Amino acid sequence: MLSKLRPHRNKLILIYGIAFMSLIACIWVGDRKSWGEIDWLDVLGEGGSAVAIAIWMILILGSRPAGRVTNLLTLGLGFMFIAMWQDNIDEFIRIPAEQWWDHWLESAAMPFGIGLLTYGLFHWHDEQLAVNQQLQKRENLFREHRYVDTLTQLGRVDYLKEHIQRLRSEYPDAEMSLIMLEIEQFSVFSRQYGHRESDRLLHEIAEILLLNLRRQDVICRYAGDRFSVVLMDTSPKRSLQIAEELRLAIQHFSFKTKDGDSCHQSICAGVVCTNKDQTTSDILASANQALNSAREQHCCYLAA
Amino acid sequence: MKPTWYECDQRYLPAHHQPALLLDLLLVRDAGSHKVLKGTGLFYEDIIEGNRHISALQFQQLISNSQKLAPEGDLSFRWGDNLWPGHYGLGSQLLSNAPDLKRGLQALVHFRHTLSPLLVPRVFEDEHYCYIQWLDTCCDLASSRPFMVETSMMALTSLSRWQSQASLPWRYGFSYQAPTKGIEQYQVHLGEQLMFGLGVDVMVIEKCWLERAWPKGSVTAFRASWHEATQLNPESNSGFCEAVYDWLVKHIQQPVTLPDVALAFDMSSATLKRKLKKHRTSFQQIQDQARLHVCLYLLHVKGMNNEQVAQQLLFNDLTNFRRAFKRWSGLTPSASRQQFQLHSLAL
Repeated sequence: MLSKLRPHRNKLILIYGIAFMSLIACIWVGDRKSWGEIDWLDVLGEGGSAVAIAIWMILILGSRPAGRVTNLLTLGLGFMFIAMWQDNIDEFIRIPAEQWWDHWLESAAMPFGIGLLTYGLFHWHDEQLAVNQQLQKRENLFREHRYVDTLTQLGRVDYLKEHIQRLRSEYPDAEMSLIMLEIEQFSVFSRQYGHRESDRLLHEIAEILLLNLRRQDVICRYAGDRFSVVLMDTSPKRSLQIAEELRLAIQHFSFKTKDGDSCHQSICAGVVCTNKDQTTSDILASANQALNSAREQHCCYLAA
Repeated sequence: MKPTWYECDQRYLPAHHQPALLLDLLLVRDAGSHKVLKGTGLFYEDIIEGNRHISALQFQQLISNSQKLAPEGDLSFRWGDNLWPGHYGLGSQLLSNAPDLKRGLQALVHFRHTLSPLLVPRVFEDEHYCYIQWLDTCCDLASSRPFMVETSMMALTSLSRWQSQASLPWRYGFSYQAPTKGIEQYQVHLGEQLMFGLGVDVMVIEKCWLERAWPKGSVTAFRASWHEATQLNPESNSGFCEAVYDWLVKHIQQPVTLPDVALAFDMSSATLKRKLKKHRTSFQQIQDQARLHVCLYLLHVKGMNNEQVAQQLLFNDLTNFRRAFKRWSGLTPSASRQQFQLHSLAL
């Protein structure tokens, strides 16, 4: 977490610097209120909000790459934090009325912060649309980060199952095909080059497969070296053609091992077309069966 | 003869062998080494230094940490995939020279305390099939059991595929129920021939595969290493629980109580109890396990009927036998038989 905050050091110093300086200044010029004068409900409300905003700020900085949108969001929240903070200090210390800056910090920082945050969120929206575009073949219909495979950044089998289910319920009459494919002799590769290299191979093969799919297709990592592709509104013939294209793409891909050697891989793929009476597990079972036939023939196989 | 054994807190497992491989798999996934080694009493330096030894208990703690850090559910299979032959001394040398499955298994069983220290293979044969049963040896694995079963079964599957250069038609039986999540890992790594809820963890293969030559092996090299191995330690070591289990199986046709075992192991009943507790198990637990496994063996492998099995195991009547069997395995004997046959093993 700390290493992730390092690029945002300047912004954090600015915000917390202002907050700290205002605290020192208030202690300098103001008088302490007695215990009886303090309104604890206000302290809880304003202090709690200040703490919550500070946490949001840290969370945003910790999870986002540096950039314009991040700066806007952080500064927006930062000024809101300062306003709340100043409000809270007033509960403990009485500031003489001629100290104009106290009032100014309290009242002006809040709208200024909200303005920055709104502007930031507006750009964040645009940015998110752009990111969605990039993710399209990995996720479609819904997002669930717990279902993402950390190695390939594709959805896992849980994602696949839910995706098929959602497609079935939203488009009951559409033609849907499933390609189940795996790398041939993956275990031999893994023995020869070790698990680090085989992880890298899986990752790169996933990228190649992604590049060769259409915008509406979704690819998931089923388990191990097995991947599945969901094709909507696609005829059996076209599905087989896409599977064949994937096979050719992998065949022409030369993986470079850490010693710089070229290493060629091949895949086999089973293709099934589904009908609407099939449950998700039926579809997956028949796709796995098709893959078994494909494996025997070292090719792409379309189940009748 | 007095049985000999090693105990769960004996430090004899080289930390830079199997534990190091597991650690490396986790480090690649960005797990901090301090998290993986938490509670094991080990430091990262200990493992890479190459001269530290750890106990079965420490190893088990490492495994239970690993399980938590790898929620994808493929860690056990990845680990198993690269586990054997490995570089663990004479045992590994024998595995990589094994000229066929039969002798591969022979080496695996003889060197089980280094090659497979937490879950040992036991090999049985009947007319048609060879069975490899996986048994907790040194201490009760509890919640890490499925993880270790996955690892061991994957390791043997992968070893036989690598050495024979072909996928062998293994079938797999598991003592536990099918997992609700991650069944796909089993499918992809082990295949479609899976039977869950069997009461025993077992791999089955037709006997014709036992003596089919493995192209990577060498009869001469194997014989030489085997000769050396049996000269060095003619008796292979057992874990403590395994030793008790073995003794119980051997005396299954006698009414045995805890003091009998204590006498055979040359210790007082109190010491035996304490030792079993240290291994996180109890006399009753091991006895139940031994009797269930013998029952399953007689029912499924020997093809006996309920009366015969009940008689063999000294039950007074059939009702008692059925009740006991259900308590151990969760199934009645006939349901168990049916389930086993459903998977066309008996054909």
